[in-house]
Amino acid sequence: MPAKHIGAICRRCNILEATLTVRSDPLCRDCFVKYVHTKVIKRMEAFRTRHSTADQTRVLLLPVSFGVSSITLLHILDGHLKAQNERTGRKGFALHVLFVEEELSTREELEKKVGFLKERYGRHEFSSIHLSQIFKSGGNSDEISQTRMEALFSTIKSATSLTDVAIILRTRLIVQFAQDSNCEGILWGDSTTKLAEKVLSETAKGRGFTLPWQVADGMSPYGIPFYYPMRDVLKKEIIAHLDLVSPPLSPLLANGILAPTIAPPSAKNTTIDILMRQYFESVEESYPSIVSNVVRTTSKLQAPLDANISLCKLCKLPVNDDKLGIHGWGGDQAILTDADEDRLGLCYGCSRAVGREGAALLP
Amino acid sequence: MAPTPCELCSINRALILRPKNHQKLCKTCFISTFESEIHHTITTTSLFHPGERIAIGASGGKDSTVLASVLKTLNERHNYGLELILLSIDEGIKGYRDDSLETVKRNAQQYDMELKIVGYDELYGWTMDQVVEQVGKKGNCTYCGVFRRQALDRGAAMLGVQHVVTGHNADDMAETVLMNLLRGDLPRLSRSTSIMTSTPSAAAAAVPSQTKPSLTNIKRSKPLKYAYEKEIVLYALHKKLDYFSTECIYSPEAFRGSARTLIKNLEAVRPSAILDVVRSGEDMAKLVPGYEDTCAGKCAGSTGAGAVEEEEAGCGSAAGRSGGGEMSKMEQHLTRNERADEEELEIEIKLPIQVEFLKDPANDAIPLRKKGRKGVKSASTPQSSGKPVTKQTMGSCENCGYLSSQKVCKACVLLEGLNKNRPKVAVETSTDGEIVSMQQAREELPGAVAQMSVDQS
Amino acid sequence: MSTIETTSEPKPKETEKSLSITVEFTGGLEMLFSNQRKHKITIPARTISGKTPTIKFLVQYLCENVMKDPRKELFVLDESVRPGILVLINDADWELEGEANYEIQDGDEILFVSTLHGG
Repeated sequence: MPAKHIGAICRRCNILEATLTVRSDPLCRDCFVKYVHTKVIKRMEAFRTRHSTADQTRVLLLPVSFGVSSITLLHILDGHLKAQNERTGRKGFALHVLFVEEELSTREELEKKVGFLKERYGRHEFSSIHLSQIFKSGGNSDEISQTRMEALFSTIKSATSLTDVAIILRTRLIVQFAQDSNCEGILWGDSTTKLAEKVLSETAKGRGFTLPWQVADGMSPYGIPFYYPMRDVLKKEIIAHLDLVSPPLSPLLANGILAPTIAPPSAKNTTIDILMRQYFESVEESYPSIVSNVVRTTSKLQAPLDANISLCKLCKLPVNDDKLGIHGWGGDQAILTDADEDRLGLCYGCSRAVGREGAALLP
Repeated sequence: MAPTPCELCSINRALILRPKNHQKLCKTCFISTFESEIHHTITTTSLFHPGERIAIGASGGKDSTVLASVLKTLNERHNYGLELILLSIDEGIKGYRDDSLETVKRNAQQYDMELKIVGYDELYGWTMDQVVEQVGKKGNCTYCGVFRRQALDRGAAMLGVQHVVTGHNADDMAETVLMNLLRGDLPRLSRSTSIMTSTPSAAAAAVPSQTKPSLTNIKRSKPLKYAYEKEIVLYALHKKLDYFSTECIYSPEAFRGSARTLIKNLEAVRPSAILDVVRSGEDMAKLVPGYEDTCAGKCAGSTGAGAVEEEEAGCGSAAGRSGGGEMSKMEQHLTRNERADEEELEIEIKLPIQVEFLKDPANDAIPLRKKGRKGVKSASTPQSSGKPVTKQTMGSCENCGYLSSQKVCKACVLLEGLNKNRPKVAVETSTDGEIVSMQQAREELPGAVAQMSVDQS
Repeated sequence: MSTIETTSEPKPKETEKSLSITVEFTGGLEMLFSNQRKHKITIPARTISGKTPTIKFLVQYLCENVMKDPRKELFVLDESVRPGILVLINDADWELEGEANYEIQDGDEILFVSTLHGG
């Protein structure tokens, strides 16, 4: 975000010259960094030191993906905890950092990046876990879990469905880990922009009913609260912030992550998520308030309060009105019979991603 | 490539690749599947009851032509017992509507249906040509949009019909869902997803002794709600139906243009995406605070508040024009509000609700209706929406009885303005002093419409 | 890619220099082609590279020789038909016939219909 107002004075401190324009305000570097940090810390109100006791530590899980948002969140919270400790001798909470290894990163790259992180933020607990661990049951080996995961993935034909399923499994794994490690809640790094992308992409996948838990802070149906402390910061602000702190954060990121999103030329290889990311990258440029507005209003959707509702076998989210499967909705001439669909036990959105073959291989 | 047999009958050669799910079908199977899916929609939502008189909003375009053809077929095949009438609106723009009206007249013969053409002059006392003559080229689209919205209902009321069906298809529904998400308009989102809504309208036969017309509920439904636009085109093609096409013009600067592009791209990635968006919309509607869960949208549940503001996607030119710059305007409005919040400006607080809200911005227990129209914190700056933040109560227009949140509905307000200034000569200056002749405006309108298609592509 | 007919069908004779086909435009596309829906056109039996003309070739040919409207972008995008335009070859969806690589035959009826219009 280059400064539109050359030579203008920072609107906040009125002292220094502005180096960036943030939502039409010229800001100097220090005020901008403060702006970003304040937005995040404000969201951590519930975890101030006065709310914790000396002996009991509240642990929050912070999954990182080497993307801009989660790394920035780690940096900001690390600084915040340090400051809390210096001021009061206590911390409001403890962080447990988690990375989920997936197929995409190579071993060497991952280890190098993890090394950098531990170097800088070593005072926190770090864990890593492979995505296939979600398939672990009854004490079977890692190899078997890996094989089971590959078997499931091989039944999924399109890029968009594959991405979809991988993200769902990743979320389930993170939740499971948080519960196993006595974490009180999960801190997700999603920026305003990412949340807006989710609103549209989940809608496009037939998963509109899950939005209350995917964009709003609060108790998730998994029994553990989800927090999105970066929800008031735009992705482009996070990117601008990366190298304004010292030491800069870019070296910690996965390679190539700062390039603008380009969809693969063939529609067959594009995913719905990439489409929405591209879309909001351009909307964010000219209409940032519209992006925030999408998130703000969608966060008002209220999750249904019914008990006794069925959980989808893949995403494990409660389906309202107990309507698992498609069941001829929308005039759909279902290929499966009603009884079959009930047995598969998938919500509408997951039925689109996973077929009958895959449904049998779910963890 | 070797010919592939149809996936359903395995006998005929597959000629059609179904856009909905990429199934390969022969002509016969495609046609019967398309028809039976609409039949399924109609029966599962209990859309009609025997003996009902239905007015089909007919524009001569592909959607309404297919709608008329399918309804006729199903009515006969399954004995719905319906009386079907074609209802067409003539805005009175010479050269623009003529072709589509000719098509509707042919349709009436082809389908053996009664046709009623209702003109703006009959409904309002003004044709669009006359409005343009009065107000010039710039303001006229507002008029057309407002008039058009009410025209179908008023026309039906004139015919004594209480149920209107329109050709809105799955693509339209999906666009509306995305559009309302982008605008942050949850109440409208929840209203737009129902297959049927109702609007009170002046009854055709008002009780003579009363000075004010009495209200009746006119139902509006969309039987093609789950039908893909591409499939509608294919159906019309293979059944050799007669329809008229105009180039579709939606400015990309408007939310609908943006949503339309997204839908097209989504469809390319995953064909079921269009229906998936519609399904999400239906599910989300139930999660909007204040949603009245009557009959789960199957009957005329909602208070018709949405029907008044429902967008008429029919006239591309109107929607395109008013949409231009829509996103910039909203951005400016939102930025002003955000800035005011950050600086914590204390604006004169009129209602207790506002105080509560400002105290605890995180409190999302406040029902959306109590906020300003767009569900955004409004009235936090003096320049924001001129309307006071009161609960939107739906009453009826003092003048004509149409549903309105104001004392006098928008159409009546506009008409009042027009009637006051009705000129005695044919030529009149427009609001910005430019002399516009009726002939000039009439000539330039189709050109302007065509120009916008260039701007859009 | 092979055509629908089996190879026992005699190939276009060496003396035949052109193919006669019918091209139709509907759904508003006719506006770009002098408002005429049906066009009987002849194209060479062999392109410059010596191959049988395909739909891809036809699209370019139409743009250059038949389209009267200067707004090419309403019909083509990156040398292919614009998304939103359905192509039917002898009543069958072109995706079932090899899409842009389908080799045109004498007497073929190609239909281009736009799905992007109000109704």
